[in-house]
Amino acid sequence: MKKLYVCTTADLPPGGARRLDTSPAIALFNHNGDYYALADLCTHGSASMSEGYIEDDCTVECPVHTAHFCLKTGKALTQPATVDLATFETLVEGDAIYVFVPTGDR
Amino acid sequence: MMNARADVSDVPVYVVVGGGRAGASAVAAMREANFSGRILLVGAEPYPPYERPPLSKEMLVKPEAAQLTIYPETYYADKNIECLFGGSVVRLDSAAHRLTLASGEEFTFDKLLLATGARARAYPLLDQLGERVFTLRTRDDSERLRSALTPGCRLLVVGGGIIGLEVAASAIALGATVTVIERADRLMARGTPDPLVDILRRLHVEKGVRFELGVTLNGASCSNNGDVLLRAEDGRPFIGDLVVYGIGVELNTELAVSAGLHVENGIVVDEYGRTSRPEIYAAGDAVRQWNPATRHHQRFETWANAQSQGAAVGRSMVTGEPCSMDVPWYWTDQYGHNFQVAGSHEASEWLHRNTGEGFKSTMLGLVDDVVVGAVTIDNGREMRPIRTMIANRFKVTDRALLADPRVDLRKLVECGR
Repeated sequence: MKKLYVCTTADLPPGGARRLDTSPAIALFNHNGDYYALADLCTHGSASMSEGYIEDDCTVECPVHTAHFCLKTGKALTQPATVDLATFETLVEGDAIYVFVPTGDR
Repeated sequence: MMNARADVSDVPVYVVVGGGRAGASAVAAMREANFSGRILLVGAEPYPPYERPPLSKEMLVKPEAAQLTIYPETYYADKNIECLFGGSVVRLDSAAHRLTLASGEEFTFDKLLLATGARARAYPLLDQLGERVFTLRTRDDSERLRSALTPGCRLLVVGGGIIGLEVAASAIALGATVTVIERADRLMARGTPDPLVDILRRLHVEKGVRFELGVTLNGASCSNNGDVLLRAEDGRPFIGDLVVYGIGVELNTELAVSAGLHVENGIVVDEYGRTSRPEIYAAGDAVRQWNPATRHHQRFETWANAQSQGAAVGRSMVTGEPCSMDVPWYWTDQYGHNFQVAGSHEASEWLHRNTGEGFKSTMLGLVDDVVVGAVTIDNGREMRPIRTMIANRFKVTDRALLADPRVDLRKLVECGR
């Protein structure tokens, strides 16, 4: 695991998302002040979840074919996706946001 | 696989005829709505329900990456859904609540859902080309086409609709040369906003597709050297190796008609999904549903409609609640770009939100300053708030604000501007 600095809290307002150019790519979301990190590539097709739409119920909608995933668990909630997204730990220290990125497969 | 005998027990039996998107969504929704009776899903194809959108795209170009199956194989057993795939229903006795399969087996039901969908409209002139001619509706169709589409082959696509254009894009990616022949003077004749049609045409031409619009064919033959020859009414020949045609669909309404249900450009259902026999419901491509909000019957041949209407009617069969109806929406993926269309395509004005980043843009269709439709190109993120705008009949007061791609549409929707 590597603790990767992403940005400051001011750089990622609620409803915002950011794509991390890791391997695999990670999407970091701010849902009402809570930060969640999921695999960025939709499990259904080639879409960047960081371009997705964060819903009030703590889910994100894929921008290409509208599958919903739970931000907390990565669970695929609606068609057309059936495979869950991987999740990654996040950490806020002061105003800095970090994501714990696996190192084994880099 | 099946031991359904509806008459041996007093639990209610719901039967779904049609193993496509609508049927799959319906059986899932029945269980989600806590229906504890028996569910029997009968599909005509020998596969569990699968997604059709990839058939003209990933399945042709990158089959190893295509995800077709809607639910994993274990899903149906886990949910106690009895399945019969590869079974064709030959008779529906609506008075006796009885279905007869081609095998002679019979089932009685308490409620029935017809999700029979549609098939590719036949073009007899081209069908006489035998193994050189292809349609695209099923998994088998797609596999057959894939094995024939080789680099350098000369493909003639007849029909410039969504299937024709997606196949053209896939064939180009595979190294074929492509000519699209369309009878109308424009591509995507139905249901597509004009600005999007222009963009798609330019994109295809840039990639090397040749378009022949306004062409009516009156001859088709295979010559001795193996070429396929299509001939236009004005005598012009089109020569190729393969022909794919996509000229629309024919609805699978024969069963509904034979059972005496009201069928008129689709099986007519109310806002609960009920046909003219209230214990028989219908959903999907073959259905024309009453929408209380628009006061029209409407029929859609889209994935989104099959998915949401299938689920809504399945739920309604259990709960008795009316279906919620979404803003019509569809997508197409061509040359790596994602195009989404929502609402009405008949706008009097299209307001453009160009981001300046490649293709990424949004167009909002207005009638009397009200947002009625939209197109997004590689910008699906905006489709969600736009669908809310369309549903709420969002009135535009500040065009410059709406045209500014930096303005967050979600915030505009939330403050109602």
